[in-house]
Amino acid sequence: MTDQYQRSPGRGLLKPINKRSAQMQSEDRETLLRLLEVVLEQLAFMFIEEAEKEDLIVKDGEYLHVSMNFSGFQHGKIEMALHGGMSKLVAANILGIDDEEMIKQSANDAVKELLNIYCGQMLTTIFSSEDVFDLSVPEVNNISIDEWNIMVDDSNTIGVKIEEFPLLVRLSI
Amino acid sequence: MAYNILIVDDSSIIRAVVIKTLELTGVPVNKIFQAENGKVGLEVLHNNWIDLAFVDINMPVMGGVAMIEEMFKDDLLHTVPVVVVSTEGSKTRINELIEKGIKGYLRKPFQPEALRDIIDQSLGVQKDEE
Ligand SMILES: [Mg+2]
Repeated sequence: MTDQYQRSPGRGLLKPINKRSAQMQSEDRETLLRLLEVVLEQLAFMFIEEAEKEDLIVKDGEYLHVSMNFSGFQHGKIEMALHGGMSKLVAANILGIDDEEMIKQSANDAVKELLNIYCGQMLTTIFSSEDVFDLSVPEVNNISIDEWNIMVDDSNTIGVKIEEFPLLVRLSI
Repeated sequence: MAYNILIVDDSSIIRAVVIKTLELTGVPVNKIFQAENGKVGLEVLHNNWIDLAFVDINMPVMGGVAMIEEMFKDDLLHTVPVVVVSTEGSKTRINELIEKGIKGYLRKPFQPEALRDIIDQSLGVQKDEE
């Protein structure tokens, strides 16, 4: 079988799956981080700050986890986890409103769409815009503090802070 | 002439943003219809006169590609201008949709100005054909 990445060198930033090391490459992390910056800024006028692992470990609070799968040229999963308050901030900023009730109602929808948009942008950036993918519909759940901290600890997770709220992203291919 | 506009997207927040942008553009709007998936979108199209449809790709029940394929098979619905508003970035897939006959494509996240331009363009195309 031919290695599809050999057809056009440099077309994707990620290495083919069989050549990837268990730990995420630093250029992959950089790409995921840069995309997060662009999507959050354009969609929700939010600005990220890079954060160290120890600053992302939490002791209390309510956290959401949103995930979706992609299939086609490559199969994989993209996940995002964030503080409940941050989801409301995303909704408020996208809609440009301060109506508490409406913000609360839109919070889950906002993070699902945030991940959906991030996933679409990520796929064309790390693979190529010639490749076709099918995306699943994003699913959102609450996660425990323990689950959050386990995700922080995963070497494939990248973490940032937005107005003091932590946000995690994990790509699994 | 005021337009009837259909917005098909599973994200209520995106539908709200499109509606808000439509209001800001000053495009004369008669009625805005909303649908959370392609199946509901087709029902709206069968029951109402629609001048322009914004269609998302990734939706549960029936996605945008299947909805658009149904529209272009239909004697009446194939004349409705369709603008795809999606996170979809595959040129291969977008080109297939353009070949099928969609009037425009806007990738999420989008700037309000880009949506306004595509509305002008799509409704303009429709006027020329009349
Ligand atoms: Mg969608």
